[in-house]
Amino acid sequence: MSWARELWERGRETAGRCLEHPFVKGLCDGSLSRARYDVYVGQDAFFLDAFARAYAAGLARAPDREAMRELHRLLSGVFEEQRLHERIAAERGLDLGRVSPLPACRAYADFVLSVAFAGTLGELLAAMAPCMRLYRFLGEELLRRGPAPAYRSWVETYAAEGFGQLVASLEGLLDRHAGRTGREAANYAHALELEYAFFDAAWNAVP
Amino acid sequence: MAARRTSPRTLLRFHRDLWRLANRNPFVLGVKDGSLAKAAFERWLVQDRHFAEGLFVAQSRVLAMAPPGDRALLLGGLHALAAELAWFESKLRARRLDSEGPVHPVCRGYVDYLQTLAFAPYAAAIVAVWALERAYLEAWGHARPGARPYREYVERWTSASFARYVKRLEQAAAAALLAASARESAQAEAAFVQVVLYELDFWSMTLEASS
Repeated sequence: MSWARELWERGRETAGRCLEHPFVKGLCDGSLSRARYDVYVGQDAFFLDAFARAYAAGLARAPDREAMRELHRLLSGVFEEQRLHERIAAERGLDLGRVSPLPACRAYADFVLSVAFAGTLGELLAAMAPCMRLYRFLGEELLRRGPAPAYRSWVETYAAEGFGQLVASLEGLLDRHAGRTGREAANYAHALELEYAFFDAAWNAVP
Repeated sequence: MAARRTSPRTLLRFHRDLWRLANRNPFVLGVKDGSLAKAAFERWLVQDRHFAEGLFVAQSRVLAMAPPGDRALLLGGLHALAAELAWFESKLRARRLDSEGPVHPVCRGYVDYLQTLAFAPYAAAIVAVWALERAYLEAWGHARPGARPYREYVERWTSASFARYVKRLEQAAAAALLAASARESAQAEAAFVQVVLYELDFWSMTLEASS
């Protein structure tokens, strides 16, 4: 089995918990308040800065030109996602430059940057893949369930074919450059837990 | 807002409530009067070893970007940390504790944060290193002289040589802040606050029975 697939299968329980989190369920049944969503968008914008830097660090240590090009495409994908956030922020009158990260967001961003600096390329890819695979999973599941009108564009972003290609590209890199080590597996599992904590923090930030 | 020059002294003054809250904490007060449960102390000891390990790696990176005048100081700190790690191993062995046991999420977050200092301006990195060592020294100072089972630890972490090291880190931080731009100073202040917030959580993380 591909390493990316195996790690995802091991993390399915956590992914299932994310899918059932009230924040995520609220994207479909409309019970998610705009205030909580606004918090989430700000936090995600902060996190994506770290995610972009981590791809750049991966690019810097890529062993061949093909991996460099793929990481460049993935980095561009983050910039696309950031533009989505900027559009939402503009509509909602949010100032993304003034976001102060919640502890869960901070921990996730620091984790990714720490691995970007100290880990192997395989360890870094294993720390980054869950974010992409989980959002793909959520996008597809939520689209099937039928998203609330207010959150349809968010759901469609991650259910879209283009995003799916990015996920496949990242997982392909992981399969090619990982060493199937315990540390990679631990990073993957830790990142998934941080994903759950991220939704939970946005949910709990608003009374 | 009027421009003000950031220094170790102003950082301690502007954030004194948070600083005190983090350092004069239930854990060290429990060490002082002996009310701290042995199990809570041992859970903490395992995490503190993980922390020292992470700090060693992070400080190596700070050393790599340090100006020549600060290299001997940071290198001396790394030597002391290496000795500290060996000492931790022997203590944990004697207590039959697993030094490779799971890392608490708070400890992990703290250590991950320290690794990101490699991306920060030097002023922020040296302020963070100074702040965490000074917080440690002060917190253990609140435990002095320490209840019998913990006295040896209190003495180790309030020693005169450790206090001298912290003093020299403070001088290095002050010099770096003097040379820093306004933006770098703001980053250094944010690093200071981040360290103190992690200190606060670090001392309380093993008090809960579940951790």
